[in-house]
Amino acid sequence: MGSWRLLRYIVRRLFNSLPVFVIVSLLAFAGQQLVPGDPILAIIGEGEFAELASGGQAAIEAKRHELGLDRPVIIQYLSYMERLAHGDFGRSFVTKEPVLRMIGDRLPITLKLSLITFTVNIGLGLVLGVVAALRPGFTDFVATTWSVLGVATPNFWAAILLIIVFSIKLGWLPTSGWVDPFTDPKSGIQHLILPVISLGLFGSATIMRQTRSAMLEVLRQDYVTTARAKGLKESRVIIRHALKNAMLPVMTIIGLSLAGLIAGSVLIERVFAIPGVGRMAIDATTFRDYPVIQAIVLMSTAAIVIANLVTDVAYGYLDPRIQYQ
Amino acid sequence: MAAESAIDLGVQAQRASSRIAAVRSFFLDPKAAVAGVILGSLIILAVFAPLIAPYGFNDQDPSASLLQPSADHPLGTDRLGRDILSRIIYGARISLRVGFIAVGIAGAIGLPLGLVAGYFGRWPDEILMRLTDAMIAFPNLIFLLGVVAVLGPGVTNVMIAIGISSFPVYARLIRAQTLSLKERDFVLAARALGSSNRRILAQHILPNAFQPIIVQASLALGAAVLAEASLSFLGIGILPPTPTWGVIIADGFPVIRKNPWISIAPGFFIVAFVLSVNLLGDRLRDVLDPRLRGSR
Repeated sequence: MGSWRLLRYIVRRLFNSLPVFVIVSLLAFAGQQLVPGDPILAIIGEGEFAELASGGQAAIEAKRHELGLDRPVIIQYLSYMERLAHGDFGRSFVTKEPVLRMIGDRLPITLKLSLITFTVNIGLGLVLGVVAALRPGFTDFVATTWSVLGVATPNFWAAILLIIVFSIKLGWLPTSGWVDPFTDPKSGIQHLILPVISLGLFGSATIMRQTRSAMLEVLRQDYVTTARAKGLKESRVIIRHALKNAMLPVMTIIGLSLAGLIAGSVLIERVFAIPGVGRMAIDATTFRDYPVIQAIVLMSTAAIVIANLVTDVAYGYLDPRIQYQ
Repeated sequence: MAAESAIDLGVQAQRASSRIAAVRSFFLDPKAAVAGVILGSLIILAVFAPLIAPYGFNDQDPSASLLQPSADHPLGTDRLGRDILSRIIYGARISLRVGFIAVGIAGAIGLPLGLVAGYFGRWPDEILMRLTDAMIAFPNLIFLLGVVAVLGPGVTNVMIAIGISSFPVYARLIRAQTLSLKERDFVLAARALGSSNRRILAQHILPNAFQPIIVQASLALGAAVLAEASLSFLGIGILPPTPTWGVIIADGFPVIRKNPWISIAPGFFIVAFVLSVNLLGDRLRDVLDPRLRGSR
């Protein structure tokens, strides 16, 4: 598999995801149109609308013309897409700042939190999944119970339990706030521990569950018996022969868990007062700040499309029989 | 005539006893039995809340603000002096209602769309598949935030938002079932006999495609209750003073140092509910499709 073929595959996959973007942008645009009341409200916000309304109907009509809302809906959609293509996501009704700049300020925080959790999830999920598959009995029981509970427990509630135990009762860790772990590692990590555990609860549980069942399946295969019969070290049999082959279905779950992380960070950022994109999404929903909501919706789509692409590329690495076509 | 009705009665009795046997074998699994008892208890709590709860859900007593758990208030009180246990019991009503109705809405949108797409194919199928691709890949909570931003908060809007966000799974499932069923002999026979498309869909395909839908619905119930709790916790779903489990957790969050039970207790109910419907859903899948048994 040459790198040229891989590049061509990536470009084609990105091109193929265009319909997803078009559908999501249509939904986002339709949302703006479906807002109860005058659609102009959804574009300029209640504050500016009240100011305009004091100038009479003529002022509102003039604004409507200025914004192009008197044009056919399809033209409005196309001009909305044109603005998006130029990176113009509009301005927030509340702060009046350009939405792109607002997201740019907060995205690094959410990205750091998500990527650290993602890494911990994969490590924890894989290790526990392998251990549970290799040691049936108590370890397996504990790991499986945890995975079932992890799926059923709301992460924001788990976060509150952790705060009560580790911050309030024991006083070991801070209750909330954000310190960048790259500028102040000690305090940063202390602030990260509880958010990462609660945000990772669901993801690590699902990765663990999938790893366990995939490993159980693979360990029964003849090539594992052969590898053992050849006298290979057990660790080599597990990592090189069993785990690598068990990783395909696990990769799918890992890719899917990213969507869970994006959604979960909204809740966790609220609990721990972390000033990331998730917090911004809640504020935007509360104040019906549509430009911000639309931008977050579209950017989440981009994140998911990229995550799926990375997962598919990883398939090819794990199983060379998979061709990028 | 008498002989025929006797046979009818016999057949009915046989069916009833086989149903009882099916239910008994369903609950033979200890996990399913425990889950059934938990779910049953929660449903009883929800239905008979006014009879079971010691106080009204919004009975305020400023002199009893933030009390610790005691005999009068087993889970203590909140800032307004409301009894937490009573609010949780009433909360079961709303949280469960939102869950059941949201799942109903998702089915009501997803089933017809999936049937039409799977049966007729071509462009309706193409549009549905692209739409559901986009929606399934999307982080559910972000989608819900978008819908709530448009519709506004409130019980009805939260049900609609969760219903809309979860219909694609049903549409995909029923589409896949329809694709395979429409080529089966009994459907071809019905078509050859001149049955209309509507009749074939309603009488032949839908009843046979129902099993996986029931399993999915039971699993989706837990997800719907979690989604409601998340939205309400964020303060953008169902708003206070209406008690739902998510609202009560949010109410208690600012005062977790004084009375942590306000936030802790409702969470156990959420976990118990989600866990029980998940376990029952898994069991249902095992019973309806024994090939999957032990695959998870």
